Amino acid sequence: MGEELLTLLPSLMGLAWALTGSRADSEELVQSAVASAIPRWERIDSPRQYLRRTMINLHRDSLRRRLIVAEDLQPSIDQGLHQRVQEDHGERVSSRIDVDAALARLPAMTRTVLILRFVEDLTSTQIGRTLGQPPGTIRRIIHQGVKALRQDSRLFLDPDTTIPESGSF
Amino acid sequence: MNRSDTHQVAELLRTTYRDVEPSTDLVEAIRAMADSPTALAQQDPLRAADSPRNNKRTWAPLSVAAAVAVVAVGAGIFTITADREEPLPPVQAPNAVPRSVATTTVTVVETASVIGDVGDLRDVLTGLGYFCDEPFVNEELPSAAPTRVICRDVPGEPVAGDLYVMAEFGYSKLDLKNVQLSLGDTAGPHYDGSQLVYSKTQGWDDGWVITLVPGVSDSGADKVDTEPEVVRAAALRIQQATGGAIFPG
Repeated sequence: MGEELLTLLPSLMGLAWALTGSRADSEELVQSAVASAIPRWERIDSPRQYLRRTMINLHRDSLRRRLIVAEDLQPSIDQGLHQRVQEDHGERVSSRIDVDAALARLPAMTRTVLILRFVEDLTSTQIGRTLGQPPGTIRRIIHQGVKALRQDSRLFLDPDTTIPESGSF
Repeated sequence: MNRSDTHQVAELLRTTYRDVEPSTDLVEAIRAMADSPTALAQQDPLRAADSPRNNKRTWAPLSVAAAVAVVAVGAGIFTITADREEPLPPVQAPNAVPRSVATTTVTVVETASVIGDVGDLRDVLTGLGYFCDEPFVNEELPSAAPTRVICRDVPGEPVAGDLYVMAEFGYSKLDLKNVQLSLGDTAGPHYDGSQLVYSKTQGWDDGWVITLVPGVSDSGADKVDTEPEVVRAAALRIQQATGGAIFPG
């Protein structure tokens, strides 16, 4: 179990970081999901799938708690970005910060769908099953999310490229 | 939007988020957890021997529920309780005048491995032969996550007398293990979920109660459209179909 978990960690971290926008939060999310999974490990058919879904559920729960206590999400996002500037010194840091910020501006559902589609390589149908949405809705969310990111001038140099309304995934 | 746009965004996200190296601290923490699964299991509220939930779990499976506790509480209200020391209040339809409602309450021991969200439950119910609508999305929630699905026992538009199962998922510490099923008939009021959300005293917050509510009729008070036996039979079907994951035997 231990080695299998460690092998999964990088991909889990990627998903968690994309969901939360910070290393600290993503590591906490991964750790919570793993802690939840370990007691059931022998009965989990697909650990990666189980952990992925657990992280998404935990993250949803976290978002809801923030809403309940009427916290403003923006300060926490800004704090996370500031923290990462101090944490990371690699060449990708500015790019990652830009992408994190762009994702943070998207609705949580859109962010989750885009990550599952393009980072986890799930199909619209698989994402729909994970999130309880019909595939058509997932495709619409992907379309809107891609369009929003594509038009973000901090991510692409030519964001004004004409983007027709229809797309296929 | 063309494929090039999609490709660029996909590449950007992949480059940024695929395979992020965990910190040494996280690796060590995970390794420690994996090396001591017993300790985690003992901390698991679902398994801890001293868990208040476990201590009060004296319930029997639904299949023998009738032999366990059938409490008739005036006005035709039937409640089967499992682990509650006090009788649960009956679930009332919105704006309800006094009606006859049969309520079956059972405790879910564990659903996570089978029921992850509304989509999973929809699959289960579809497998049982129910015809399910698209999951309902509550736009007011930040994640706009689906929280409800309604399934009927016959296809097409609902007509009076159809049995239906409505599932509500909540968001608690235990997250989507929260599920409340409502079984009724479409002659009754269409539940908008509020009466279930309000039923926090029935375990909404701890996420371990499924409530089956047979339909109540708009056509007249005190009329039970679905007999408790029908509810129990449907619950038993779900129990069997999920291998006891929802109603463990």
